[in-house]
Amino acid sequence: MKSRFKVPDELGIVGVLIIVAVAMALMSPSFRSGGNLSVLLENGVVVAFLALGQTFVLLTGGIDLSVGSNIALTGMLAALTMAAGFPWWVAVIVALLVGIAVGLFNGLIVHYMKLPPFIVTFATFGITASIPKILTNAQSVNIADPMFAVIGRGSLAGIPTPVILVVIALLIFMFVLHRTPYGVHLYAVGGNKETSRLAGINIARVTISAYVVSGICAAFGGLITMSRLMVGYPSAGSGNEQFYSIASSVVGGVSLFGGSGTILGAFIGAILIATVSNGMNVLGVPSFWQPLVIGVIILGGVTLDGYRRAAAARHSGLRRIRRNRNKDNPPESAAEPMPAPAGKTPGSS
Amino acid sequence: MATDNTGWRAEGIVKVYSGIQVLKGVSISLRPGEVIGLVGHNGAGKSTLLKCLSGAVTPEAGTISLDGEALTLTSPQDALHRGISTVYQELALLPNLTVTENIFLGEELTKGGTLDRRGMREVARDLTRQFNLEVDVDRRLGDYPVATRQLLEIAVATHRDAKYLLLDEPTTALESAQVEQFLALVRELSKDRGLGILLIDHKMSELYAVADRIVALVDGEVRIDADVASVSEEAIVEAITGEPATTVGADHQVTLDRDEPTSPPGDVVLKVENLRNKDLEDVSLTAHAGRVLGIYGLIGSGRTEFLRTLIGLGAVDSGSIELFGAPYTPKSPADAQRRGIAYLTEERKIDGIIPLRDSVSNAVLPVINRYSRYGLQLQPGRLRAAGNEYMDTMRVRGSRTAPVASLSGGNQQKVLLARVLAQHPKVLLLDEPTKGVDIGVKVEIHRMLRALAAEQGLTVIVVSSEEEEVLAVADDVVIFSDGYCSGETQHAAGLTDADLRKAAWSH
Repeated sequence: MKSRFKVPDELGIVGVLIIVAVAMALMSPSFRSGGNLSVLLENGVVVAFLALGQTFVLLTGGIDLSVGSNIALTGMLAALTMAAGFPWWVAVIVALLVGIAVGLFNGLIVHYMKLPPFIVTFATFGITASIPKILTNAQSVNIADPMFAVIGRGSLAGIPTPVILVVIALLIFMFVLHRTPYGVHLYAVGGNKETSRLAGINIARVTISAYVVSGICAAFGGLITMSRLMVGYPSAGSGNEQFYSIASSVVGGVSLFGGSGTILGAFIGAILIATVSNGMNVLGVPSFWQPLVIGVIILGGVTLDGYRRAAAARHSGLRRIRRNRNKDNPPESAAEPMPAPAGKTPGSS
Repeated sequence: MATDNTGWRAEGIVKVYSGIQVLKGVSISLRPGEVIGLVGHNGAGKSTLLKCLSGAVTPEAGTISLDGEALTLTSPQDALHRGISTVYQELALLPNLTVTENIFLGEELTKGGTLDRRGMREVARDLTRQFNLEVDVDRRLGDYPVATRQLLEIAVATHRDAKYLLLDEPTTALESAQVEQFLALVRELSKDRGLGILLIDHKMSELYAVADRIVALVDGEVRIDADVASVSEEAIVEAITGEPATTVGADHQVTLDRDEPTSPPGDVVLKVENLRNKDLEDVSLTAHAGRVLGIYGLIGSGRTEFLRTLIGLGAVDSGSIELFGAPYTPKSPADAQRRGIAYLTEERKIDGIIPLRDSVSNAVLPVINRYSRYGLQLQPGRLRAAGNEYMDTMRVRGSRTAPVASLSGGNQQKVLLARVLAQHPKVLLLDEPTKGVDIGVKVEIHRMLRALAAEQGLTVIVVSSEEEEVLAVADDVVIFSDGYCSGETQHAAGLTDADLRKAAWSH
């Protein structure tokens, strides 16, 4: 009955992160410098944001392939808003609204049309990647409002603003997933939609909101990306961001099958990937090695997930347990000594 | 006892599935504090009735009322709000959530908008303690065995202010000690808390231990509805099993088959002795060349698991298997195939057909290498010719180039049987070979199976839950019951439906 000491789910990924960081630090003095830590975090922030949103979608059993291109769409629309003479905060609101709209679009189609999330968000990826290029004829747009730079370049007490933003988002999401009924419902829907429906959970709301959260996170990614450069460029997010957001979540223990994993794990996964990229840069490893190394790390993470699922399945009711019956103890004799219920005695009715 | 109006009653419930009346006007009533034991044979309509009562399916006709007020149940949620809680045969809790989260799923306690985890944990601890469940409420449910989950599910069902509880075979996953615990629980819930409980159960001893009233369902109609004290166990089994089958027209055609001379028992081909694994308690049987062996038993008696064990899909814990006189240890379906065993699955759609491939590809799937040059280059002409030949033998009708899913269920089944033939097997293991197949095709399949045994000397083993089918197709019959098969073989010719049913119901 008593609660045993529970090993946190994130322990494994933290261990891997420490090993990688220590190894990098031993190999390169410049990796150890405080300045590099700041660079590492800043470079990892966009992927971390995307991974947070991606985790919401993965927990429902879906996947969001549109987050990378959504960076370009939201960031470019923010840049265009400012180019049209609006202040920075209007641009931020526009970016967030666009992020929400893309999430709604994905979520509504996935839920109501009952189409596979992979295909729906892949289509959205194409659409959101093209729109900014169509709008600007594939030209970049300079951003003039200096206040906008605070989002990507500012800092508070020496901590870069984007890092502060992503940590705030992480804390909010941890709270939402762990401390609200909605959080439980998200895990429930990812575990089994039908059961959740029978339990009275609003599946539409849960599913669609997960994509919306992902869209909002992508909008933050877009704002940070554009703000760091003070240029809106339509091919933003077409690199590894998309791929690494999924990788971060999976390496962090979020199951691709839905219903299991934590947002903190995904966040640490994003830091791990940022550490690997940064460490390899610092060590002077050619950048084309990075996808290979990260690919290997992902395989490791997914394999581990597979093991965990297999272990869980051994425990579970996939196989029915037979009654413990043998010839010395047939069920008739087992059941006979039972006291008769009150209603069974003749005449009691 | 309650006045006439109180309680919950269903009248004249009719449910039709694909043109067949599964329930033919069933009336049943349940009062607070009463336990009704619902019994019936496979397919008698018990689970369907339960689903109508719980709002999971909508009946075509009939009324449901609670304390005299007529209800229309449109969803399980609807029923739940009326205090009708259901535990289905399939587990309905989520293994990826904790015990506490499962207990409160959809009705979480909150404090100022956030989860009141402490409050929920306390209620969960109380509840599990009350039900004598030794669980850590903060652990994931998936960490616990099925039996625990089943009991927990009942606990959860009662937790939600239920006044009526519908339980569909809740004891199948329980061990005997837990069965007693469960029965004690049912008594307590009904007598002390005044819940009305409807309990579907195959085991008479369990029903007699708790039920106040027994309702026996036969072919979608209530055959017995009586106080448990006024009706004997024998009378109930008699009612469930004693009726001779009434499907006349088709039966005659099948019976004509029975008049054909059956081949004399040939060599022993398959000999299984005291086979045990986690689904099988103790199975012995012998199958002969040139004969059809029918395996009859209730759902869950281990029939399917037995066939799957023979082709390497289940571990052999102990016991011996001999195939053609040599010891045989099942390794894998591919290995079984090489030894001449062909298997037909019970679940056509799950592990039978490849729905989007054409019927030729489906039919020759296991032997596709045969129609290639050096095992590399496929020879489409030969492949098509061979596939068509097997399908002609099975008389598959419909397009052979369209996806097999576009064929009727009966023809899909024949494609799968063509696949069995294509393997040139010596032993056929067929699980419900006529499942979902209409009567005409059924007769055809029976005739072919008998011909395969009689004319080609194959060993055919047919698992079926239909008495008529077993009697029509088999030379010899063995009975599976609760994971046991004694190996005692009876000649099909001397048996009746009632004999089979009785044998399956008595251990």
